[in-house]
Amino acid sequence: MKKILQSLEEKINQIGKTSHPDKLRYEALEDLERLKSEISIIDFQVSKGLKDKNILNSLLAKTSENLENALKNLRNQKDELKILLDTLPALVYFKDSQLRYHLANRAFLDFSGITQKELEGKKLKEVFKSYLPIGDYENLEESVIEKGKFFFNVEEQLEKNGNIIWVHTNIAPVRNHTGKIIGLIGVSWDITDQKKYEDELKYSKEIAEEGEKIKDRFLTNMSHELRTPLNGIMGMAEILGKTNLDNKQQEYLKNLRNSGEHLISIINDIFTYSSLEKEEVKPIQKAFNTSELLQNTAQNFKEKLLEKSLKSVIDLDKSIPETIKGDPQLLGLILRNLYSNAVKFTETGTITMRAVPVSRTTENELLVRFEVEDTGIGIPEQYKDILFGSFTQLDTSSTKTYQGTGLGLAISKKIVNLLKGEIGVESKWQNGSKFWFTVPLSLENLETEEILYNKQKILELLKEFSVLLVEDNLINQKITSLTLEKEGCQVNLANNGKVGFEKYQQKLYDLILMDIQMPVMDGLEATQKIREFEKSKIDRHAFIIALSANALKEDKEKAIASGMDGFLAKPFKPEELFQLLFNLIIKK
Amino acid sequence: MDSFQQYGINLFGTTSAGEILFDSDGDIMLNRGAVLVLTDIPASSFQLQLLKMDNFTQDVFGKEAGEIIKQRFKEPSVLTSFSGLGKNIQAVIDNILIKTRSQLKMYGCLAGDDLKLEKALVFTEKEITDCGAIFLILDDEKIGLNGMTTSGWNGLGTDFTVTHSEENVVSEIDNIPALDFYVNYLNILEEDLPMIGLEYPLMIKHQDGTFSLRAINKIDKEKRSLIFSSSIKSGTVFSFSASPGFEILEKTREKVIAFYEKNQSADLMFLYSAVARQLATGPLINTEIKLAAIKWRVPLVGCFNYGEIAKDNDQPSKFYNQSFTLALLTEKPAPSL
Repeated sequence: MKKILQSLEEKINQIGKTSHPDKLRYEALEDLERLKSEISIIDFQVSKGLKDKNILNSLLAKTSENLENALKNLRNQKDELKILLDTLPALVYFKDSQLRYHLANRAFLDFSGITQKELEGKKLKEVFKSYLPIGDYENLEESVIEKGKFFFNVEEQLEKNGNIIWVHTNIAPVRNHTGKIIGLIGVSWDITDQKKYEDELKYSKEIAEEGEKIKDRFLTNMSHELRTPLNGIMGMAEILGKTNLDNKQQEYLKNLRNSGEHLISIINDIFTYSSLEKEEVKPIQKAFNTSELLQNTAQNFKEKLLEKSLKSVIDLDKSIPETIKGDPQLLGLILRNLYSNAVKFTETGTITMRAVPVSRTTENELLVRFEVEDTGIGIPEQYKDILFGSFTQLDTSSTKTYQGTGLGLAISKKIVNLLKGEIGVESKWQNGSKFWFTVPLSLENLETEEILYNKQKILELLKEFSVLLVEDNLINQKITSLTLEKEGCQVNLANNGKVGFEKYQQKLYDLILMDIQMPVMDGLEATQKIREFEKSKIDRHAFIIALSANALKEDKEKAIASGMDGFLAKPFKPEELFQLLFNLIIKK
Repeated sequence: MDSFQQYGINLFGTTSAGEILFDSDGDIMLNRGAVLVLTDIPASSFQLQLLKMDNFTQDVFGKEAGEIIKQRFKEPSVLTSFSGLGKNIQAVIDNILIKTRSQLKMYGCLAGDDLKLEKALVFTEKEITDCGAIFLILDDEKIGLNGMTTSGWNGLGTDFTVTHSEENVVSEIDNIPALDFYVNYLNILEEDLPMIGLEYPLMIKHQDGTFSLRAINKIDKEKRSLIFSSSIKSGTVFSFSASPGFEILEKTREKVIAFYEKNQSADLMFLYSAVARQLATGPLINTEIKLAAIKWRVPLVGCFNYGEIAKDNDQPSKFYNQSFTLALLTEKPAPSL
């Protein structure tokens, strides 16, 4: 505008001096127009400025007020946060993305023995000059910043006084509102006491586990130590029974066999209960004949029933299919336990075994109730609740009339539970008892191609077999070889696994009966060597049956894993061996 | 209107808050009268349509308009003017785009009424409405339509949050009745609204870092609410905004030059300028308009208004406030046989 005014002034001054006054006048008028335009812009700016002034001042004042309030709130929040952090017993710190300490709570400062001022802006190694925390912290923190991942750890830390404590540390990335990682927060708890408690707990657990192992080892050893001589006793009794004995001797032999069988049943009960406790027993689904199951159960007690002149009745409801699916072995075990009790506690009268349908639980499932009813001494009301407990017998006196471990009903209850059924008793003191259990049985795919056991067939086959018995115990050697030789087999002997392996290399036997625990080389190693030999040198497979006094499930598993085809627990009856061989050789 | 009918001339008209004409002498004319441009577009290349909103919602109205636009040409583009202060124009545009393709080119304005903010009109030679829109639907294969838009307003002060709203009606800001909040923060009289709202719009901050300007064009004194031409959801964060003064001219200059570099051909230009730009720059508004006019040196007609509609670069067509919006019309050569 100043320039326009100067130009205008010059033009006005020259008007009287020039020969072209009209041109100058025209230019001066143009300057005036430009001047007017400039003035109108200034006028507009002034009036707009005045109008905006109030509004902008107001906005500025309010913004300033807002900022002041925000600052106050921020200070309050900071104070609250500090109180909160200082109240926390955990060690809390914030670091920026360069891993420089920014803030820490009271617990952290006390732990590290430094002040907030000393801490700020410094790195780990600058802060902890005289001692360093155990573990590569900086690397971990760098990875939290780089990868944005959380980090959890339980670790040992060194206190300023040199004590080692256990801390649980969490490190997490801190992000700004755009999601960018601007630092990290670390929180550590002193868990020394907890850790101590955990260690004690772990130690107790190890002790308990060791105890459990000792128990298992004890059971295994006991099994071996009891079964080996028992095998001898029962085997010799079997052989003795085939000789000419007078009536008196027959009577003694019978007592000997009864006592032996009783001892076997006790050992079996203990092992069955132990297996159930360890949940090693897994039910199977197999088609079986219901009538046969009941008949076989009663058949087992034929001699005892005769002794006591007890009548046996089997009552099978006709609506239950002849063939049905379930676990016949486990069902047989329950029935034998219940029947055994009935025989044991009944002096006169009848023992009735019954099977009746209860309901169709699904289209293909039938709930069946099995009952064993006797006319024996019955059970006093107050004892009914404890009947199914372990090692329970109603007569606990030292001169008790009835023998037994008291495990039978506990075993039965565990099996019934396993089969998803129920078990119970109805009884009156001096008026007989009725034990019952229900189990769901399947009606699905009942067709069976079961090849029935044929003893004759297996005996004919055995006559053609060359048999090697690997056994270190002389009595067992005699019993087993005599049993087999009586059936026409030719049996060769080996005193341990090493000799057994050597003999197999010289003569390819068809059947090897292998003891497990033997000196020089045990049965498992010998079997492995035989299988390796067969695989690498000859293309054949001899049947190897373990004969072991160790009857635990893991013993069987070990035997099968070593390459054996079957397992028999000593003492065994010849019939058991024939059945096993039938299943192995003919059925398969 | 009768004269136009008598001569068989289609009329695409709108009231405004000031008119703009770049005359044949190269001068910018601004007045409070009327400006008119006559153009000879073949009847087969356009369709003029006036639609009244009546009781329709913006959804139905937008979809009906979209259907008409879509049906007329294979590749349509649209010049438009809306009347209806307090209506949600952005919602209408959104519904048009649902029916047509999302990249439909639309340019136009929200009609003005010389800053009275009472009743604006759009009209053809036959019909007129204070609540509706006119559409000049063009066959984009024959008549090219292109444009740009720019603003220049700056945010002021701290951020606030819309705490209650329904569509384009904001009833609470930071839990305070919206009208009271606005009056209190700007230290103005209630009577100054809605006019002063044209100059001090809300700068809406989007999560992706972009922003939109939203000017008040109506108030509800009873409900203490502010009404805009676009939805503002509850939870929206905004700050107040104001023109930085003559600096907006510089921004316009840069954008116009860049646009000219890519779009030098034009036969006719439409300029839709927010009336707030005139209020903010006063006599210098001529500079801004002249800058555009002399670049292309073709007839330019335009108006000051309460809101602008434009398709800017790859963005879909949108409603804008405080903008300087240019639309270029070009007759395309007939395809050679």
